[in-house]
Amino acid sequence: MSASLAPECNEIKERYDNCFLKWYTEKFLRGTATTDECAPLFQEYRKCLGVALKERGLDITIEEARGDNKENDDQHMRRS
Amino acid sequence: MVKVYTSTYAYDHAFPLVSLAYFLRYPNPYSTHVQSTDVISRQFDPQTRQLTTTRLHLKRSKLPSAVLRLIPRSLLGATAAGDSQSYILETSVVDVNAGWMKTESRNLEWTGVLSVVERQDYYRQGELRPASPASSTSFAQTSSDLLPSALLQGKTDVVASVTLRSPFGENVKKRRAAAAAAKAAGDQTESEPK
Repeated sequence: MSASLAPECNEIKERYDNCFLKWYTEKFLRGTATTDECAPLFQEYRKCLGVALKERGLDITIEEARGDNKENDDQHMRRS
Repeated sequence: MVKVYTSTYAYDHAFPLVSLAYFLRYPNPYSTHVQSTDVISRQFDPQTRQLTTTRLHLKRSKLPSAVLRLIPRSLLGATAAGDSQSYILETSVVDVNAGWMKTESRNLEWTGVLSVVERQDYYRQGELRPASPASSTSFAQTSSDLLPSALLQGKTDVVASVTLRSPFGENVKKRRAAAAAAKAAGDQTESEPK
């Protein structure tokens, strides 16, 4: 599994990644998934990552980029 | 200025395997420049059964010396060797029942200079065929422990595109268009009968 940009989040990320891989191959890809079973672990990992993103000023950059995406998507929809 | 490059091809691997490989593609020995991958958000919609994921990759890149001469290193966060790092935001949607996955990656920084958007759309090929010996690569072998053989059959079509967009070029184009329009307007007034 790949490392996190924040080394302090690596441990919880690995736990989440393992959970996701198991769920993805055993439930999602077989079409039997009903809920995201790894959501609690993801919340924990996301909490750790959130602090790291804020420290690097990335939270705003990401929000802006995702906002841009929405605008682009709207334009795309209009044209077609 | 916008430039789009598109290509299509097919993988000799089943759609579930391709979608799994997409999520597991880093780290790998051929992409040592990818330093980290984080999941920013992940939503599973129980109604549509679609999985939407946003990830953030940190990539190290060697900058061309011409670029290094133009832009101060301190601005790029580059080392003396010319190593620089950049963040890539990747979004993907997987619909396993319909058999498609749509992905998009874009650079987060320097979008004012050049924005690069890479898209890959994966589609499950209509007819299923028995798994051929040709598809028994090491990854397929590993994945047979993860997925039942029924999910490892078939091929996957891929439509890939790269969109390059630079506001620099756009401004030049706008100025040229404005100048041409002004000239045309000037010509028109001159040619009008007095």
